[in-house]
Amino acid sequence: MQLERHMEELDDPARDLHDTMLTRRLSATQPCRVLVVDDDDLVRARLAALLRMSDFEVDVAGSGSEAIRMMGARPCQVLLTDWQMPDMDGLTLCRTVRADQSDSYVYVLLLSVRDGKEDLLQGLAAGADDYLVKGGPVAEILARLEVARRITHVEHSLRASNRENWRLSVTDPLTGANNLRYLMKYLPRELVRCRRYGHPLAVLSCDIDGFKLINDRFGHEAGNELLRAFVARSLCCIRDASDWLARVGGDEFMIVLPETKVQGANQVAQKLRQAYTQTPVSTHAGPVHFTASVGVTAVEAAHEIESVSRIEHLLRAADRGLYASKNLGGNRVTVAAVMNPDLLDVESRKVKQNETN
Amino acid sequence: MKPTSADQADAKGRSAEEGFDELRDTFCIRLKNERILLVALGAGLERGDPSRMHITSELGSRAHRISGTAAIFELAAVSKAARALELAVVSVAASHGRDADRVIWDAIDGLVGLIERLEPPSRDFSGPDAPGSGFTAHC
Repeated sequence: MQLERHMEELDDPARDLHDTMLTRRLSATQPCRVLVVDDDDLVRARLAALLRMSDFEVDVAGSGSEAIRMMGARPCQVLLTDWQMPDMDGLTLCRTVRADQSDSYVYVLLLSVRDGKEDLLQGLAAGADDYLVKGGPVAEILARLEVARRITHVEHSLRASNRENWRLSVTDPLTGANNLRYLMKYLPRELVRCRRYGHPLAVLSCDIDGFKLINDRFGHEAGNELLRAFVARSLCCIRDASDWLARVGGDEFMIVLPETKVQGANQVAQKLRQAYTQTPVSTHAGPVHFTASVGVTAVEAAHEIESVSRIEHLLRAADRGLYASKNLGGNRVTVAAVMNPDLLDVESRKVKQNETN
Repeated sequence: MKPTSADQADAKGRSAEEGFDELRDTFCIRLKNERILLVALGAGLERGDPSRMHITSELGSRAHRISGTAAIFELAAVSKAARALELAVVSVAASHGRDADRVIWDAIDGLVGLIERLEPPSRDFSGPDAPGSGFTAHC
């Protein structure tokens, strides 16, 4: 029910419209920083005063290279630049800005005394968004900059909206955890990093024991509450900065632990198992006890790191461990080697032996 | 009585105007010095100075800068004359001889004449940059 309600909220066009309007209002109040680049200090001062009057935030630079330095230190939304300058001219500055693959777009307005059609074309070809000949009325400069402000705001809103869409596309709406798409995108990157630097990488496959029975007995809403509690408890047991978790099925989760050897991963898994069982989850249907089974795998030896080139190897090994835990009655942790499937039996036997003892 | 937003905008506008006048006055003083340099560079050309390339390059860059700054300070005639000098320098850069230089001298004369006619700061200027010629200007 709650999931459905959540999905309805996501699909609600009125909510979309509200979000869009909110984004617009936010972007309208967002400051617009203009970097004025001119080799003449009086021109810089004049333009800066004009722009500040029109509620732009203004920085000034005396040359193209100084502008590049300043943009590195404090990004701007609009670049208002002269063409002819010593050191680095306006066209080179345009090209440099366009070559930079930075996260946000910089709107470039070239301001020059060059008034030929070929100058205009050359400026636009270098990457300028607009071209203005010096000597026009001040109102025209301000009007063109208002266009720049409008366009950069639209660009900012679109970028924010894309980021939000991306976030939604990789997030499980029920639990707020990452989803399968996230896992398939980022686990390969973790593996590449692990191979490049020769660092270990561990993966845990987790599954709530008897989840279907819990759902049947307490209802789906209680099941959903349990899933959220599972995620919250899991996140408390892993490192914020590097480890992450993804929901990959109804009650199946993968936990990725970069820079972690099998022994460390096993310890984390044991900690998780205890966290799940320690206290019951408070649901609207009353307290619900649950346990979970965990499969652990890791690549850590040099030959493993070199051999494991596909995430399927890792996922399959972690699942092997998980199934072994399930087969042994659940509520346990089983380590499965990526390279040597026999190791699974040894580890499982060890676990069983320990418990018998 | 608390100042209203209109009062604040008005005060902001007035202070911006004062700031503009101050900057333009500074530019006009700078122009007077430029005039001396332009005349000296023109004289160098007339003498057939061996550093002709350097002189024309210097003339070109000074003219370019004056043109741009004058345009920003709404001294359209000065900007236009400086631009004419810059283009004259570009067009005759590859040529030699007094006929080619004549174009530059004429352009220097035109610009220097305008600068000489600029009145000292805070006084009305009734030259070609005066109201009615498409812009308002006084130095």
